[in-house]
Amino acid sequence: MPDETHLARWLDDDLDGTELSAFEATFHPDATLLARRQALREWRSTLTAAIPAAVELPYPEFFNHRLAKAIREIELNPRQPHQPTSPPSPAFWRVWWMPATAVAGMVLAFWAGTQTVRGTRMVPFANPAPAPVALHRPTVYIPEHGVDAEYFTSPDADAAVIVLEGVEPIPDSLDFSESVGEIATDNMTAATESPEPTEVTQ
Amino acid sequence: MNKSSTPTSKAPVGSAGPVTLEASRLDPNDDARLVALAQGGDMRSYDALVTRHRGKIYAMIRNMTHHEADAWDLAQEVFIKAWQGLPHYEAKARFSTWLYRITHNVVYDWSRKRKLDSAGEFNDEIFDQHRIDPAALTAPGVAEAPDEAMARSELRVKLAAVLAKLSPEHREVVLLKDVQGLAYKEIADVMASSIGTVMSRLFYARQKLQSMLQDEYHAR
Repeated sequence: MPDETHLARWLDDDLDGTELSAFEATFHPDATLLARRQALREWRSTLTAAIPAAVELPYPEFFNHRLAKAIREIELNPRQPHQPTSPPSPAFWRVWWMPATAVAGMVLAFWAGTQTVRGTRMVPFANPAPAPVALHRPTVYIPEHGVDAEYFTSPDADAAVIVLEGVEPIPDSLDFSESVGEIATDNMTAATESPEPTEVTQ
Repeated sequence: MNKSSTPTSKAPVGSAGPVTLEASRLDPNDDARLVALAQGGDMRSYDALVTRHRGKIYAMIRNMTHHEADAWDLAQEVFIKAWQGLPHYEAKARFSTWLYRITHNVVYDWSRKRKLDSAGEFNDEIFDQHRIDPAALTAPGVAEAPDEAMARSELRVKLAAVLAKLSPEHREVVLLKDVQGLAYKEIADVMASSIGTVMSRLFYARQKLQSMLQDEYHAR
């Protein structure tokens, strides 16, 4: 008795040549098996009658022509894989490249942040550093004795401050409106050259 | 086979003019010779190979996908991939079997992509496919006697309808064996499975088909 595989192949006309000769030399099928083989042949015949194995496709010459064109493009540009049905969609770019770019950007920003912090002295908010002193300090002339002057400037705040210590209190009768125009025109000079030193902010 | 040779476009495809299916069938053993020439860069030979096999590949794709417009493009893709893989093709299997293997991959890739694209969407094709004749041809067919044509058309519609209800694996094994006439071993190569699996799938697929066909007849 043959094994199941050979029997199934014989029933399905899958054996040919020497395989078929060797099988039929040792195996003599009964009427039932012959009927089953015949039924399978009729089934295949029915199927092939209804569903053709080959169908000439629409516009066959154009098919070959377009194929030739696609192959020529591949030959000219071998590194780019050909996509005959559709070009790479923007959705693909969005799905894969945008998140990757965003993550890379975040990592780069984080790394840059850590490098900046390492190179900078940390300053607590409670004790802020004194305002930086300008490299070019102006000379403050004070005619009165016992008065000290300190000059501060802050480029970030765009401001300069001169603090005078030891100046006598300014009387309430002094009319500032007379000196406003003078201060505006002479600005720092007016303050620094004033016979009565006062605090001027710019 | 000249495995190391790389096809180059020394002559344009199609420049020799179209080769008809009938002409290509005159010598069915010409595949090996044409493949060897194509591997050497002869594009006219590749064009002849395409002309010889395009009908079977197109029919196979159409029966698998039931999507006529995509079948044309997918057939193009099969022959482009075949061209690209030609330097690696060895004549261990028939050229047509190798083409069916590429077709299998192309159709399954298409199917996967379609599932991804249509995820969550309403697919009206699932409900309409039995009302439309999936075997409708855009190319004119051979003239038949009216009664024969009607009977054949009716059977074709029924068969196509029940084939569409099978799983892709069962549908493919039936098409390859009962329609295309491939041997078990060739089907196993195409589907990357064992002969045992092919036999099992074929048995269940035929059983389902016959059962569904009987239901179709009883329903009328």
